[in-house]
Amino acid sequence: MKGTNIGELEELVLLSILLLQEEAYLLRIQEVLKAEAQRSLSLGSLHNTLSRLEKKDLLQSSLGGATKARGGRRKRFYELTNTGKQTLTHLQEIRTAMWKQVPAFALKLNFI
Amino acid sequence: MPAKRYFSFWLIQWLCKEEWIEEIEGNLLEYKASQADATHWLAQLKYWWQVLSYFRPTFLKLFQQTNFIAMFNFHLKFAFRNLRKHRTTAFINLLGFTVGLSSVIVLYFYTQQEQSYDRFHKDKERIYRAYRTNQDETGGSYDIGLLSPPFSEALKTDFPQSVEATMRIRREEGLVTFGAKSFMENRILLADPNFFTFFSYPLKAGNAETVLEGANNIVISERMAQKYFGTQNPIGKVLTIDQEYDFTVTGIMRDLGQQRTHIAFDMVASLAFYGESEYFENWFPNSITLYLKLKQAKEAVYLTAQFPAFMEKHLGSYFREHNQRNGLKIIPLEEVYFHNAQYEVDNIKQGNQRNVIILGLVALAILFIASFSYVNLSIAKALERGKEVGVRKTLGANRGQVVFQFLVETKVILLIAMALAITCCLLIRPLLNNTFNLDITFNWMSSEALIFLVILFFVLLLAAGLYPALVLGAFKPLTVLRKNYLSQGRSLFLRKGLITVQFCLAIFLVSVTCFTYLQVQYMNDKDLGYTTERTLVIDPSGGAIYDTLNTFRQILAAHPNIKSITGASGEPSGFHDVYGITFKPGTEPIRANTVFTDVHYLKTLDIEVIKGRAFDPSRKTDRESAMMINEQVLKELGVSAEEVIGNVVDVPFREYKRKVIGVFEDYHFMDLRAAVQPQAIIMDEEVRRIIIKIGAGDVTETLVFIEDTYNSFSAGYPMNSTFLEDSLAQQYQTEQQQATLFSLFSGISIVLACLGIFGLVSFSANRRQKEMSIRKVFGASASQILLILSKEYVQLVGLSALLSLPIIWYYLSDWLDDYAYRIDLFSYSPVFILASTLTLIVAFLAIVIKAYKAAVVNPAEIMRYE
Repeated sequence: MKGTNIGELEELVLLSILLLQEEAYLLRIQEVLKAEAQRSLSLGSLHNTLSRLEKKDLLQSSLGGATKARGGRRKRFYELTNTGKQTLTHLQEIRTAMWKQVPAFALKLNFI
Repeated sequence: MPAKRYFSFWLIQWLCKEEWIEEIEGNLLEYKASQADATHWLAQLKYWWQVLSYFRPTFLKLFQQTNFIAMFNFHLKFAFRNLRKHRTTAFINLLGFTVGLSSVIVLYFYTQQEQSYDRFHKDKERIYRAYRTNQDETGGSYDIGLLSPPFSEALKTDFPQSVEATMRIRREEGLVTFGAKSFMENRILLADPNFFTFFSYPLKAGNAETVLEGANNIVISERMAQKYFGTQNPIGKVLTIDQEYDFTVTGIMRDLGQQRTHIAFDMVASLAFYGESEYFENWFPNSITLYLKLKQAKEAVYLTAQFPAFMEKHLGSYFREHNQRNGLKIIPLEEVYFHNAQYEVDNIKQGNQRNVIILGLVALAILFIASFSYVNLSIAKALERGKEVGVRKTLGANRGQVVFQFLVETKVILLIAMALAITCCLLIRPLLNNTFNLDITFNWMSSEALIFLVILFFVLLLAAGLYPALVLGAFKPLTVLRKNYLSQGRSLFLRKGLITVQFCLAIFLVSVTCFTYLQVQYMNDKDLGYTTERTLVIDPSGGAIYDTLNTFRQILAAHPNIKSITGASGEPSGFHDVYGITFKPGTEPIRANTVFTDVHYLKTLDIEVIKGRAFDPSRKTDRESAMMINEQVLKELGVSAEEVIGNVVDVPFREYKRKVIGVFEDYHFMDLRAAVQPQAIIMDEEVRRIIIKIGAGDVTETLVFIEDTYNSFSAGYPMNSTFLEDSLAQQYQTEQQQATLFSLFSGISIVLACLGIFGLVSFSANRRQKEMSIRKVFGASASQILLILSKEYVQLVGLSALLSLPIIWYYLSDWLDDYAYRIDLFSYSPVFILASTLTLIVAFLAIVIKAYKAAVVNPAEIMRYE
């Protein structure tokens, strides 16, 4: 089932977009990932991930907002589709359900 | 906008899909703007990393879909289809190119290697070798490689502003012992302690500056370390030389690998080993090779101008006393290996530049032959492909596209041949190295080799591929499609020209091969004027045996199967001292090769006395006063034997006089490259060789007896002996090898040339199919048709033979000039005819194979489509 399973990076990217709301375009997303998740991604690979998520129908995008720093070129803003939002929520639910079943002692770190 | 970003944008625009470009550029610009210091190199690097990260499938254009690439694929596909369709032609072409390329590649590496001598020294431009020139009493001039030790200091003190350092090298041989291992080594050097900073021989262990500082230090090669110490660490171990002198190993030289040097050696010790001896003060004798490191290379001119005054200052009085004069010269280190001077006394490894040039030319010739064959075959095939070209052009291809297509086909064949040739080279390397006693290594990865291969590829592509491609490209679609007719045009003349050149080269190589063999055969068979059979030569260097030589001789002489035994300063074909001797008062002195020996010399070698008498054992006075000369002395003096016999003459450097008692017949004591020189045989004890003539009895048993006896005298030195016949056979090894090499290449060239003629015949057979069919209908027999088809090609080969004759003649007489005793070209001219006939027969066979098909075909088959 295409689109229902996403990887960890993809999840983080989707979350960043949620976080950024109106400001969600490539360079912002890159900054957020770096600041919040300590993930340093090149523009190309992040751009690639975004377009993949768009193909999976989790994202939609629109062009706009040309600025001087971009030499008058437009940028692509991303926002989550409903499927995207559902996927994230679904993932979150699965996690919470599973966490509940984990016994507390299993998380104790083992010291030698 | 900075240039760098402009370039990156250009890249993006070129490589990325249209729809992404605006966005990507915007992102990159913004990224750049967000950088704190965009001009810093680290920032630049990060920026470029972002640019590169965009080159992934999502963003890149699909290049496979462009027209150019599609056409190229199409050409490739066609090329392979054609190869499969015309299997025989493809095979012949591949064979031709593979053989041609292999020869060229092997010869390239060989010549490259020969030219790479001493290129690795850091200061090679500033290092020069010094040598003397000698004008002796006879007015002749020759070069002497050796100098004496004081030259070094004198040059340094006289020219402090030009000479930075000097290097004296003395060659030694000796018995080297470590524990139970003991070998004779003849590549030991004694050198000044700055050896490793003067030259750049790499050290694996030891410090280049200090490694030879101690008088008893020795540096050995990796090979020697392995030989004597195996897996042990050699540093600090003690090697004993000549059972007397201990040397401590302080360094190990790294294997030179691809590098070559003319100073071939295995061990280096310090000249300081001689201590404060007089050796370093005496201007005579000469025993070292001397190298100078100049402050600047251009000082060489100045120095050369100063040398006459320098020699006069240090040796002037000596020259006047001895009525002779030495000059001093220097040559750059890189030229030493190919320096063509005939050194009178020398001991360094030298190459033969002429051989290298000849082999290079042979390689070029083979390459030409291979490409000519390809040209002829391709054009022959063109007939069958006229329709293909016609259809292509009708469908809109222009001339350039057709030419390009055929070039791609040539490229495919060449690439396959190149791969095959490289494999071939790797496979035959061990065989080559063994047969020709070479040490060829293939250094594929060196940039020069790669450039050479690439250039070779494109030169061949153009030489072989361009012309057929142009011819095919020029076909007019209407003519080709309507009439199925191919104009022969002017190209036929050119192709016949190519065939002629090919066969000229082939006949040249075959003839040269034959004559080289004949000359070697001649030299091996020539009566040398003395006995070479069952003659054993022992080199007694090693010391101990000298004192007991007489006893040794007596014990051997008592053996029934030893006919005669003599000690001499040199054996025939070996070393002879040369002195200027005045044999008749009032005449000019003559440069005579001398042998210092005993009464048995002439008898052992079976040389006849023709005037006067031989040495007489019963006359005690002969020992102190007799000398004999050969006929050549008389010839040079232009006098009769009577005028010389009885004269008492001075022997230079020996402080004694000798009376000429007899004349012996000329014999070839030097190899046959040189004419017989004047020789004087003088009675004196100076045994550098022991020569033993063995009788007709059991040779093995006698040899064992000699060796046992020798060992009982020699105190551990192994006996070093050869049969004269064997060492004489070695003399002409170079020529022998050259002949083998030439026979190989002439075979290759004939095969390749035949491939070419094969192509041309099939072309004309195809073109004249109808003509031949009509002839047959009117009653011509198969053999007549065969004759018509092959006549002009046989004529071509005949023409080549005629054309090549003067070139062969010129080359051979030039080559034979090196030999004083040589075959006469006129009396051997049938060999040339034989070589041409042989080539002709092979060519004729190739023609007949192709023409026969045309001759026996049923005319109805050809004619019915008319």
